[in-house]
Amino acid sequence: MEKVIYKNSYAVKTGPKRRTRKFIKLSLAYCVLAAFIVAAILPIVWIFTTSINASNTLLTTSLDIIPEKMTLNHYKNILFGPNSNFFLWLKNSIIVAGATTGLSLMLGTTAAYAFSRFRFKGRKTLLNIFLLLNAFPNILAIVAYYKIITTLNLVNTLIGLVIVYTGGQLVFTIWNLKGYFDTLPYEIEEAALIDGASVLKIFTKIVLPLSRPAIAVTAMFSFMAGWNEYIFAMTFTTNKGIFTLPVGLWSLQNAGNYAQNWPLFAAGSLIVAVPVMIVFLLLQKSLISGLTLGSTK
Amino acid sequence: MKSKAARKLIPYFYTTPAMVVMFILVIYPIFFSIYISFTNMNMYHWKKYNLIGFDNYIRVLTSLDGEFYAVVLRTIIWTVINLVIQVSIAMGLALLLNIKELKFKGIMRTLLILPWAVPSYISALIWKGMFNHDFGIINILLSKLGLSKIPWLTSPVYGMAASIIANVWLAVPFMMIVCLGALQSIDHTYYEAADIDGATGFHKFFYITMPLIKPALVPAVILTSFVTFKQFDIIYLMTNGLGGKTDVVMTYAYNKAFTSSNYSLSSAFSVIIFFILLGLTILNMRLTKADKEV
Repeated sequence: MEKVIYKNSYAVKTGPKRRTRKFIKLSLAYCVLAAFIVAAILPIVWIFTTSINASNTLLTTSLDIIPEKMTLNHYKNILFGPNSNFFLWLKNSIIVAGATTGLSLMLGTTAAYAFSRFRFKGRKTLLNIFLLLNAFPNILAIVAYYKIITTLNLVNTLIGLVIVYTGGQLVFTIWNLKGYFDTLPYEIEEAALIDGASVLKIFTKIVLPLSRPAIAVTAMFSFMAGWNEYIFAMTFTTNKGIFTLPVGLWSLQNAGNYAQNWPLFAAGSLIVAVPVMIVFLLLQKSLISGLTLGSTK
Repeated sequence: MKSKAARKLIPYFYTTPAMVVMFILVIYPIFFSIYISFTNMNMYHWKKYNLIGFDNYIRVLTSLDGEFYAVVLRTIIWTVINLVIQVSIAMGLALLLNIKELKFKGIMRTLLILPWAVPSYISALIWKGMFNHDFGIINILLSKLGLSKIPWLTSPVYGMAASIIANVWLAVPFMMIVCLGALQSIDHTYYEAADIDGATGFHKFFYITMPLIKPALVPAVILTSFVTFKQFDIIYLMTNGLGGKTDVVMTYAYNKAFTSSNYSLSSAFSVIIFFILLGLTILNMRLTKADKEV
């Protein structure tokens, strides 16, 4: 019966029939969206449930979102437990991500300014090289990096990681900031130039203050890259004292002993992921425009 | 004011430190990789290695039981399957979220993009836990439904299936946001005109929506294909490549180096992949540039 109504309904788009159709359509939309929302948040909910579940994960086959017996012990254990290195890993991650951000910003901002404002020999070539390097995943050169780091005796050091990460972030920093500098009107700088200000003065007193938001976002990206990187970190460090947070979490999950380590991993990964998720949701707009900037043109 | 010659030097003064660092930290390792690929560097020749010519390339391309072709082919299939599923789901969700009368749009959108916000190595490890044979929620669900447990992470076929599910979960939000942005930029009058002409939803989608969102969608699809082709986290963390049976190009290069310690062979493989990526990137740059001029 209903099918018949559907078939003819667009010809008779008036009155209650149309309203019913709209209603059905909307309800269907809500149902489908709800199903996908469940799929989207299920892993996050599940890891949360695991992290507060007091009963042995190996024996429970319950699907309750809120476990019968709740506990915060897993959080306590990952943070302050006798075998916990969490704060050491946190410190290492902050050092590595911070140093990477500082170095790539220091080097990248000045270079990006020159690439945006000056026309000089080699500029075009270098910009093209950046584009190609952006497409190059540095894992493909990981053997070379490993050999270099070993030769320099930097295996199991944080400096080794900072060196690798800075290289990776530098290209991105220059490219991103150059794009922003390009959007700044040149007139202000021109006026200052006529007034006799030096390029350095213009850069530090006019351009940098104007670019604070873009620099902050770029810094955030660099920091996140270092904060989330684990491939180089797990390859170049074997000493638990040098682990960064990702390697630490990975080692927990990789160490076997599922019953004991899995809830710890769950608690630890939430502690690490939640700040990242908050930053992401706050930076949503600039992140999305940053990612689609080059592509939607 | 400074002399003209001095002014000409200013950009070099600003760029040199960054360029020196870039050449040492990024470009030198690439050339060093190429050099290593022509040597016999491995577990036994880690410190003392010699040039051996094209041997590694010959081994990669002609022996190893055709593993090279299997891995490349698998990566291409992996990329295509992922993209098809991602784009379909993302487009569907975007179309639904774009319904005018829909309420709670903001909160639904935020919940749907949450997977994007989770660091990808954590997502991969969470999915690895969810697909765990004995304790993972997926198999628990299956057995509650009366179905048998599936060896998700130890069988090549299911390993790929599990990886695809995790990767789609991870990647749909970006594509959905792109689709949604494109949909929202379409002028409503087109649809109103079509309504007057009595067009069906089907017609409207293929003759109005699709052509109008294509300019935004195509670059996003290209970007995502590169990202998916280069995907490492999911496959490596979830299945660890299963000894070459679920490896994609990136994890294969990594495992050849750090699981079997065959550094020079891995480098040769990486160099080939590097040139494939380089070719595709240049092709993409050419095509989009040609697009812009028109």
